Amino acid sequence: MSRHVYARLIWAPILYLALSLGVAVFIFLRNSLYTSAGFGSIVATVSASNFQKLVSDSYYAEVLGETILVSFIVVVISACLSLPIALYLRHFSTARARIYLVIVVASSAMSLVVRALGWISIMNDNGPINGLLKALHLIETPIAMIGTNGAIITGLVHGFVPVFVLTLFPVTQAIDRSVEQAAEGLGASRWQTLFTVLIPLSMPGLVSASLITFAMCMGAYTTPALLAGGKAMLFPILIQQQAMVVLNYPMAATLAFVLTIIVLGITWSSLAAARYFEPKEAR
Amino acid sequence: MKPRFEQGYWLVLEVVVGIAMAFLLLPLIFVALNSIGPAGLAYFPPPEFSISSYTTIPVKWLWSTLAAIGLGLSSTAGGAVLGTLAALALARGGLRARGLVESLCRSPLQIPSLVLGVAFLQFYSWAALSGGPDLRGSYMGLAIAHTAVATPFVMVVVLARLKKFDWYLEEAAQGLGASPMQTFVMVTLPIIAPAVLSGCFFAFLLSIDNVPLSLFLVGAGQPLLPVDLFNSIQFDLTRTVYAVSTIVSAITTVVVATAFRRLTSVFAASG
Repeated sequence: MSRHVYARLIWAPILYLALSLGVAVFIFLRNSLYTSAGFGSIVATVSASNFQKLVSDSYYAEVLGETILVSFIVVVISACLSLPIALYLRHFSTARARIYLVIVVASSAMSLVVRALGWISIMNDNGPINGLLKALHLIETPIAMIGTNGAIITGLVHGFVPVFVLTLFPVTQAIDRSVEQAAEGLGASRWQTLFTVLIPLSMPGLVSASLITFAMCMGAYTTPALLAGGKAMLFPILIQQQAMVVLNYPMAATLAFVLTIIVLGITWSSLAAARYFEPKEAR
Repeated sequence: MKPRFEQGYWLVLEVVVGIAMAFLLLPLIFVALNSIGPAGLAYFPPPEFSISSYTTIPVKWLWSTLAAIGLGLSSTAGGAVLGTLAALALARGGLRARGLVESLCRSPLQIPSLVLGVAFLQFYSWAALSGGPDLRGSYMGLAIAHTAVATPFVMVVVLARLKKFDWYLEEAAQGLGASPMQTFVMVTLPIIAPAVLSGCFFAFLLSIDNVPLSLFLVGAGQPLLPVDLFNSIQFDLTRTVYAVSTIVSAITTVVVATAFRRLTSVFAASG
């Protein structure tokens, strides 16, 4: 088909997205400038009062700071686990390596709800960790693990390691084997090859996977909500509470707007980073 | 000295990767272990061996599973059509504002699902209050939002495939007398079909587990598997929930293992 026929095809998705997502985003941005009259009703007078409250009440900044800190720790741990996996899958093509790849791919497809449930079953007061510690008489009363940032970080790392590996894998896979052999031929040990050849050449993948994971982590709701157990507070949980418990739609919209700006900022910088690392001749 | 040092590298790699794999599997193993035992409140280890938690699963879980599959299939079908059209237009249409249009079509992927859920909730309640249709708590409302998210998923995969597409094939077909429609159906579509299907696979997986998008849009008592599981875990965690979760993860494993070859080839192609 000719070009102008193909060009016309764009109207179907554009119209669909404009009439659904576009209108939804418009309504929610407008609501962020309105004020709540409680119980889901909205007073349609334009003001920046929600944004003023966001700045003046330090609670929101604290929760945001906590969310950024948790996301940062999750990214660091995920990177430390994912790089060895990606290097392992790059080096070995054994049956075990294939099983590892299946585990990673199956995990990435596995329901986040089910995976969070797994951590709840391990960490709850009647779970195996507390049971073992009690049987060994190390503790009298169970340690409350659910609701701590440690539990949320564990769950999020579990959630994002597969994504991290699958983002990093194509990059480590593309490293030319002859570069590695050259380093070894010149007398570098495996560790020297790792730090002077493999990690620097994996950097584009590491940077983009870290930024993608960070952005997804900031907006993650399912895992933190289940592992918070009503105790811990992160930014996405705060948004859900404003929308569904407090029924303050304007405040929920304002917080969601702030989260979106942060996430989009990180996503766009990851795209810019990908372009920066892209070899010149490939452009 | 050097050989031992070298061995150390491989040993560290084996151990770290082994621990990472155990870490990935551990929670799923404990979900399965907790599901075995008498129905009722779950604690570990279960008091006795029993599969009654499976045989007593209420039928409502079947309805909520079917609802989730139906929603996933309908939104994936919509996303497949819209995403493929968008990819074809972006790759071949010579659009003037190509960058702008592409980032617009990609935006549902980049905005957190939670934010999309909040936005659609406020959209639907505005529409209902303004005298329009009330889409809150309806599958129609859910499907509209899920289709918007499925579209970029299919688009991204098809767009990657079209970058390597040999457009002379279309010209050759038309040179041999095929109409534009025949060319598309008999030449272009068969070539991009695997990419469309892969995109659909990812879009379906995302839709069927998308709690933050659905949570705001389902009505009270409206069955939908991921939301029902999510709520049960928080408010009513019994062995039944573990049994349902075990079945869900078993089905996921079978589906992924079946699609594994296709998946790995897609990952290789996208890299």
